[in-house]
Amino acid sequence: METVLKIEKIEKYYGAKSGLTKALDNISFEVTGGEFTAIMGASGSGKTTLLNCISTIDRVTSGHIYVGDMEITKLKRAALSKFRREELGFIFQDFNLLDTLTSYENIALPLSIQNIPVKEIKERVKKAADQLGITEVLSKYPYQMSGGQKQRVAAARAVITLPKLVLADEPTGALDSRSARQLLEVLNHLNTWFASTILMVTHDPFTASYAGRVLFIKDGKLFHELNRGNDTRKQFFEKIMDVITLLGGDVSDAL
Amino acid sequence: MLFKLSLKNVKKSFKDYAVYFATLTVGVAVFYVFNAVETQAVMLNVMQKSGDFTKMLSGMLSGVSILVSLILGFLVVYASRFLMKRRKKEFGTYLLLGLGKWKVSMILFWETLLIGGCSLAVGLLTGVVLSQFMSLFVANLFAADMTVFKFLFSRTACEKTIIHFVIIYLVMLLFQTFEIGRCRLVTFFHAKGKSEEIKMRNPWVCILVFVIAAGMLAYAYYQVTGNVENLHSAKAIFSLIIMGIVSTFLLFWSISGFAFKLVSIFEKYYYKGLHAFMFRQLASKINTTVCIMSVISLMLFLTICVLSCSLSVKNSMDSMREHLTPVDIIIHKRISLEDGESEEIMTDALGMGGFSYNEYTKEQLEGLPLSIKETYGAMEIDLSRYFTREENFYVYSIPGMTIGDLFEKMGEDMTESEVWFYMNKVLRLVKVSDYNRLMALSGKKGVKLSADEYMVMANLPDMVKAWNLFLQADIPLTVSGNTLYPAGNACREGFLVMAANYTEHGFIVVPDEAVSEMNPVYEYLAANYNGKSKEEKREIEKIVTLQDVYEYPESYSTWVSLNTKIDVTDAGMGIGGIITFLGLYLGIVFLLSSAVVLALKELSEYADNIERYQILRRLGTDEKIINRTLLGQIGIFFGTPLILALVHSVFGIRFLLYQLRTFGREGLLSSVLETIAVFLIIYGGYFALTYACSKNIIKDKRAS
Repeated sequence: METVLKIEKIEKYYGAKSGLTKALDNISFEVTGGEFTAIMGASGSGKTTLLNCISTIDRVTSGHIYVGDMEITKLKRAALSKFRREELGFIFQDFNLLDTLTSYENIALPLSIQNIPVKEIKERVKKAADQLGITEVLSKYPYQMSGGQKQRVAAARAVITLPKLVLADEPTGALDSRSARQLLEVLNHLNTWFASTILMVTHDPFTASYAGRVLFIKDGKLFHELNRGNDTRKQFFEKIMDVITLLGGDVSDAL
Repeated sequence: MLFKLSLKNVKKSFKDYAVYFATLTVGVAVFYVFNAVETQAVMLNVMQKSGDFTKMLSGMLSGVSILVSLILGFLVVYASRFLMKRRKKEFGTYLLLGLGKWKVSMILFWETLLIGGCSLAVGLLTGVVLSQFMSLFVANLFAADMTVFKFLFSRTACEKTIIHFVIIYLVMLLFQTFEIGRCRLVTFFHAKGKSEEIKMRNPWVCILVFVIAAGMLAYAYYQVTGNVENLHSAKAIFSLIIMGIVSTFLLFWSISGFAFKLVSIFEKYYYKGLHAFMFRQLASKINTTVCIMSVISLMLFLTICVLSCSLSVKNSMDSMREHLTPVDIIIHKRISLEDGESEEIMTDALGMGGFSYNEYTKEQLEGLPLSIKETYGAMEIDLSRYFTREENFYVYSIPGMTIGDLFEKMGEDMTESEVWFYMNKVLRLVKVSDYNRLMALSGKKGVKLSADEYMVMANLPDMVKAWNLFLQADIPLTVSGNTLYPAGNACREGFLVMAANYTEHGFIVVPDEAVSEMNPVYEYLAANYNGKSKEEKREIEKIVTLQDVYEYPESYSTWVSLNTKIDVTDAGMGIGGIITFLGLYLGIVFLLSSAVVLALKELSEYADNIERYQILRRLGTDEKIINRTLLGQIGIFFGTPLILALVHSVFGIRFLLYQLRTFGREGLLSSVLETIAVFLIIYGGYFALTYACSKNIIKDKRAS
C-alpha cells in the first residue's frame, strides 16, 4: 500500500521566548492507505495541535508533512483551500454542521464547492446516506436531529468527496455511549466500504480500540505505538488500557 | 453585591454590550433630534414670524412620529433580544449556582438601569449636538438670510425622549423577566445551538398573500396618482399609508416564502458553489429579515421621497425666485384715472399684517400730479442717492377695455372658466422700448417687435394657457387706430411685479408708435440699490419702502406701491422654507436610522457568521467564493428593500409633487433624479462599507 500521510520531525512552538511551549516535539510517523489510525493522549498532550497541523488549519514551526506526494507545509493559501477540499475530509467533535442547511445540503456542500454536476451530487449523497443510515433525516436541519445522527451526517460529508485522508477530532466526544458505538461502526464501515484512510484523535480508549493502530502522544512526543493485528477489539482495548496505566495518571482522567 | 455583578458583567462582555449600548444611544439621539425639529426650525429667520407654524408642524409631524417611535421600539427590542440570546448560558449558570430567578431579574434590572441611564444621557447629549449641526447644515442650504447660530435645547423633546425611553426600558425589563421566568434551566444551556426555527411556508399561501399585497399596493398607487384629485381628507391619505406599510410587509413575507422555494427548484443553480449556503443564510432568519427589510424599505422610501421633493422644491423655488426678482425694487404709481374711476391701494398701515384699503379719486390724483421721484421728494427722500441704475417707464390702457373684452373677440365665454377672475382686469399696454429697457436692467434679453405686431407677456400658468389659446386664434388688436397682429402664437414669459412665484396674468407689449398719443395710466420705476453688502441693502430698503410710515404724510406714502427683492425672498421662505427644512431634516433622520438598523443587523450576526464561514474554510472553500457569497448575500439584503422603495418612490414623489405643485416645476424631474443619484451613491457607499466590514469580521484570524 502507498503511504498516504508522512510526517517528518515536526515541531510546533507556542508563545514568545519567555514562555515558550513545545506543543509538538519532533514527531515522525507514517500512515498507509486504508489504515484506521487513532492518536491517543491526555488533554494538553498535543494531539489536537497535531491534527490541526495535518489539516492545514495550523502551521508547523519546523518539519515536513506529506499527503500523497504533496508537501502540504509548503502550500500557499489558495492551494491550501484546494488541498482541503479535494484531499481531506473532516469529522469534528461538535459536528461542525452548518445549522442553516438541511442534512442533504450539508452533505452536498463539499461537492457543490467542487462544482460537481447536480445529478452526480444526488447519486452520491443518496448512496452515502443509504450506507450510513441517515436517509430519513436528509431533509432535516441539524437542530432537529440527535447527536448521533448529526455525527453520521458529518461523517457522510467527510467522505462524500472520496478524500485521501479523513481526519476525525474526538468524533465521539459529544455522543452518548450508544451513539458513540454506532458512529465508530460507521467509521469502520467507511474504512472498509469507501477504503477511506482515517486518522482519529481521541482520549477515549474505547474509541481508540476501534482503530487498527494506536499512537500514544505524551508532552508533544510520540510515546508508544500499538498495532491491533489479529486481536479482537476487546483484547486490543485491554492492551490500550495497559499502555495507559503505563503512561500514569495523565490519561486516567479520561476514563 | 448584585449591582457589582451587573457592573462586572457590563465590563466583561463589553463587545456585546457595545452593540446594545450603541443601538440605544443612537435610538435616543435620533428620537431627540426628530422631536427637536420644531425648536430647531426656529433657527430659520422666517419661522419666527409665523405663529401658526408650530401648530401646523405638530399636526404634520404627529403621523410621522408614530412611525419613528415604532421603528425605534423595534430597534430596541431587537437589540435586547440579541443580547438576551447571547447571555442565556450566563443566566443558566447563575440559576445553577442557586441564584433565584428573582435575583437574576434584579441583576437585569441593575444592568438596564446602568446601560439605560448611560445611553439616555449620552444619547441626549449626542442628540442635542447633532440637532445643532443638522439644522446648521440644512439652514446653510438656504441662500436666504439666517439668524446667527444659536444653541438650541428643546425641553419638550428632551422630556418626551426620557419618558418614551423609560417606558421602552420598563417594557423591555418586564419582557426579559418574563422570559427568564418562563424558561426551564435546560433551555438556557441549549440556547446557543438553537437557531430560529426554519419553517418553510406553504408556497400557495405565499402566492395568495402576494397577490393580495400587490393588489393593495396597486390600489394605493392608483389612489395617489390617477385618482389624486379626489383625495382630500387626511383620513383617506392616512389609511393609504397604513395600506402601504401593511402591503410592504406582506410583500416581503410572501416573496421570501416562495422565492426560496423557486430558487431551490433550479437545482443546477442551487447546488452550485455556495448558492445553497447563501440562500439558506438569508432564509435562516426569515422572520427577522422580513421585518428588517420592510422597515428599511419604508425608511428608504421616506428618505427618497422627502429628500428629493424638498430639494426639488427648494431648487425650483431658488431658481424661480432668482428669475422673478431680477432687480432690487420696482415701484409703481397710478398717474391718471378715468372719469368716475377710483383707485384702491392696499396698505399695510401698521406694518403688522393688518391691511387697510385707501381709496382716492380722479380729482385727488390729478390735484397732485407728481411722478414717483417727485412723490419721494415730497417726503424728502432723494431716490437717486439710493439707486445705482434705474429705469422708469409707463403702462398704458385703452379706456374701458378689459382682458375679458379682448377674449370676447375670440368668441368664447371666459366667465365660467378657471381664469374668470382676470377677465375684469384692465388690459395693460407697454411700449416695446420701455420693456426692453426693463429687460436690460434685469440682465435679460429684450424682444423684437415689428410695427404691426403685439406680444403678450404672462407667467400665471392658467392664464398662459388661456393666452396661448387666444393667440392661436390670431385676433388683431386695435390701439388708437393701429391694427396689430400677434407676433407668434404663444405668449412670452414676463412680468411687471416681482413675486416669489408666478403671478403675472398678462400685459401686452406694443410698438412705441401705437401708444404715442395715449396718456399713461401707471408710472413704473425699477432700480437696483446703491449698496454692496446685504446690510447696506437692507438699510436702503428700510428707507425707500417707507417702513416708518408714520413719519410721512399719508397722502404721499400711500400713493406708491412697491415690491422688493428682499421682501419677496423673505416671504418665499415661508411655507416653502418650512417644507424644505422639514424635508431635509427628516430625510437625514431617516437615512441615519436605516443605516443604524442595517449596521445593527450585521453586527448582531457577526458571531454566528464567523463560525459558519470557518466551517466553510475547513471544507476547503476558496476565499474568492466566500467573498462572492458574502457579496451576494449583502447585495440581496440591501437591494431588495431598495427596489421596492424605488417603486414606492415613483408614486410617492408624484403624489408629493402634485401636492407641492404651486411651488413651480422648473427642473423638478432633474432635481429628483439628481437627489436619487446622490442618495444611491450614499446607499451604495454604505453597502460597500458593510461588505468590507463583514469581510473583515469573517476573515480568517489565524494567519494561515
